[in-house]
Amino acid sequence: MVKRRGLSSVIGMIFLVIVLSSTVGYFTYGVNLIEQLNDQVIMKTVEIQDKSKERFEITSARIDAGKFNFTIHNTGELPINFTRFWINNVTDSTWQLQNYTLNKISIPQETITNVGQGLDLQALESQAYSIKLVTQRGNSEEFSVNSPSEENLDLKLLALPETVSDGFRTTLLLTVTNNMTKNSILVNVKPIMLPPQTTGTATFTLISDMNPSQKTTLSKGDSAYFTWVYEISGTLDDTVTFTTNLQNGLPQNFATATVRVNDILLAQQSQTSLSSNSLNSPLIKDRLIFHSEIVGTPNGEYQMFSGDPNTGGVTLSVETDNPKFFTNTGTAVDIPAGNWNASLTYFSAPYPDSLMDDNSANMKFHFEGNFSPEDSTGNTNSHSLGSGNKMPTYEANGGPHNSGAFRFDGGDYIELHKESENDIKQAPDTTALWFKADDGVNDNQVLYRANENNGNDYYEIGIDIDDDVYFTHRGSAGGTPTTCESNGFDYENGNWQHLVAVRPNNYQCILYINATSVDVSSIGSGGNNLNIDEIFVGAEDSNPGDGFNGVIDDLMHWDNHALSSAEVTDLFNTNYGDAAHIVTFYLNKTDSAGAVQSNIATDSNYKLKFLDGKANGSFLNSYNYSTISSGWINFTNSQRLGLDIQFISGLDMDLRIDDTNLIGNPESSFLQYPHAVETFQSYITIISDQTNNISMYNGGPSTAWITFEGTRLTFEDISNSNTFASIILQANNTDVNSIQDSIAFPIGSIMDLTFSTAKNPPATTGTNGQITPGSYNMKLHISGYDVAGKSITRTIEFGIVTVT
Amino acid sequence: MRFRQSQKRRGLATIVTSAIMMSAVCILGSTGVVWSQSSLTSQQIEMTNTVNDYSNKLNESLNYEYVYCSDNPCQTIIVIITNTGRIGLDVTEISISNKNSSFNKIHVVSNGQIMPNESIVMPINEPSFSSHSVLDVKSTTSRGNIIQTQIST
Repeated sequence: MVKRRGLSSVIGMIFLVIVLSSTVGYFTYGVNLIEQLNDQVIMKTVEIQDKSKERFEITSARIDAGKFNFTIHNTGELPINFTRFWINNVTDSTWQLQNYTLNKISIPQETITNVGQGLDLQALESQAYSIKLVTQRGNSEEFSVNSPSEENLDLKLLALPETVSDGFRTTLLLTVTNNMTKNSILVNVKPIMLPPQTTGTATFTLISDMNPSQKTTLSKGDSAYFTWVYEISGTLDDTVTFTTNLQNGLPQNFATATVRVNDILLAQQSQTSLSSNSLNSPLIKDRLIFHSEIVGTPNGEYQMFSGDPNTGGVTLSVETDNPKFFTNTGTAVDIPAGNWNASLTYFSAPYPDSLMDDNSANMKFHFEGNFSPEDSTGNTNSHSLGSGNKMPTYEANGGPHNSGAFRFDGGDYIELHKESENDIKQAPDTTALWFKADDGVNDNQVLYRANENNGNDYYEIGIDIDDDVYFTHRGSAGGTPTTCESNGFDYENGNWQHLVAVRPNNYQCILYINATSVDVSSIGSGGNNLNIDEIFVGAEDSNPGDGFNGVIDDLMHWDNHALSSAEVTDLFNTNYGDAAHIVTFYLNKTDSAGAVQSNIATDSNYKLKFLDGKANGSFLNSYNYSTISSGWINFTNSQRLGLDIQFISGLDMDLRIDDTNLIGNPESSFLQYPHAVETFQSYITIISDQTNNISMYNGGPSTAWITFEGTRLTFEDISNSNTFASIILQANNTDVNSIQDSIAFPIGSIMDLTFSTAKNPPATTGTNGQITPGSYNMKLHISGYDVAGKSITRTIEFGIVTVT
Repeated sequence: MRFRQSQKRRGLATIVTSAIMMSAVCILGSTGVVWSQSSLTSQQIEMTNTVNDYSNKLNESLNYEYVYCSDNPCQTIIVIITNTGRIGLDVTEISISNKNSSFNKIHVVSNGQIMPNESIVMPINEPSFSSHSVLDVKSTTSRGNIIQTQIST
């Protein structure tokens, strides 16, 4: 038995050994495989890390002798093998993409140069190339050589300054920003100045050409700056328009800047705006500025002559003043046939006279622009034009009097911001508007709705399904609405209707259509306090199904005033469009005493448009009176030109004249006549043997000084070649001479300049060569400097002055 | 005597029986060992293949070197793929699709084998490329690696 057990054990052991060795071998093999795989993963990870650590920059790219010449800097920590270039000519569409083997190895922080010089490729400077450099690890960098043709670049051209005097210089500054969406490095960025375009008699002279001549490399996001200096000449309002683009740039990728010849009061170069307080205009022969002075006019009318405004401005109430303007006598002027324009800067009264006392707690919207409605009373500007596709469409001449208006296409709406001026609450209230409803809408249509968020309280004006107009309001959930409704007339007829809804008391309503009361009601109950949270015009945002189809204009709301029947009639008769004021203009040739000798033009009942002065009655716009004269109109030196403005009807009208603060658009009011060779005499008189005083005004932005050198008055006899000049003596009673400049001339201050008697040769003393009586073209030449470090140089023409 | 005879017979039977049982055990044990060896071997082969596949897939590395439209409007997209890995690979399929539409152009590549550090150029024609502003370009290798880029037409 012992022997048999030993044999079994042997056999069992053999099997055990076999099984164990197999198992161990299997697991050992598996572990080795896993180890190998682990090594592979580690290697792959290292490769990925190496790839991500690879860094290089194209520091320079240019074309030398027809060959590319790139400089590449290895900015990373690993050697890089640059294997290939891909080059595409983006200018020549017939060019096929080409690749070139490079195989250049760069060690870390090494810069390799002259890359590309060995390529078998002739590169043209006139063409643009897109280039991609590829490394062995698979990284690449794409950049462009002179390739603004790929997409638009951000170009900005500025003229500094934009307005210059005749003979002054302006610097054009071009900013080129590489805002390409592709990761492109632009090289050899070369702007091109196209031939400038001029208007009038403007001319330009290139003083300093483009600096720098090019930008070698422009990385993504970087900007390059280029400047040119031009000298501009011309007469007032002549312009020179400069346009730049880029070599090989897209045709539509350009920038423009316009330089206008103008006298910005004084001293454009310094931007310090000095002006003469007595007269300071460049001589504009055919433009007669309305002045507030009345000295020298026949019967206390206002002066009219070529010379800039010289006061802080005067406002004339046209409806009561019926202003008249006269030129001076003294020179003969021959005016050819042509156009006359009176540029009138004014603002219209916001309401007819009867409503002017209730001009505070209200809101009015004239819808004069395709933007979020502006409340002309200035109570708030937080109103909005619907949202998404529910925004009304602006019609520039769509209103009842050809003014701007909004069209609503069923669901379009305007949301007005709730303010204390439109929050309803306790009566009284009034809402007025013009509407033109499209015919054929078979539904309720909301014109104006103010309501509480929960809908309990509401104040609504609209058109019902029967085409009647209604006005309904309710102050509580359980209350009985107070409702007024027209009856029997189809107001959905495509015609303009003027609607006024009045809530005189908490449970009353009166509804006016075209100034006629169509319904009155005193039925209603509930809360006295009508609370609202939101206000809509045209449709409630949550209920577009009851949206208005048509046009709405001139929406007004009075929160604490119930319009009377007479006021409603006045409002209905008010024109907020192209005929807000009816005025008759007379242009006459008169004798020196103002008696009419012949009429040049009479335009009766001339329509002047509504110009909104907004909350504070500001002069924001101007409007032209225009007429045409036929044949020559000859003025002798004892005759005058007179403009007579007679108010006929309409809203009150405030006309601004002689305002030095109105520069640009609008300007202070003036009359322009067909271009004549001669100029009307100004109202200035110079006494030959006395010193001359000129008041100057510094409009800022810097304190300035006047220097002795270059500050003179000159006189040119209009009938012969005699000329004289005066030398500056004092400024504000302090001497100005070759060793002392004027005292400081702060912003906003007035300085009186005293000049010697005019002589030839000019001298501060004596009477030798003193000016003789006659008519002279007088000019003021000013020289100085300001604290900003800029020099001031300016010539002002005063027109024809009389020397006695 | 009977006793002795009886004892002799029982010893022989035991021996025979033992021999038979040992033979059976040997046969069964050998069979089991052979089977287990065979199974382990096949599993080793399978594991080796799996690891090799994974390893090869891991070592495969490819990049788009250039993808561009060769005409305007875009009807042909040229795809240039470079093998940046250490082993050869086979690009089997390039699909060009647009995320905002159902457009999906699948281009089967029959000769997409690329040796290390080499490239292949594949033009793909489709007249409607130009009607999509942005296209996704996805390339798949025989080992299942996928690389993707975008191109604007």
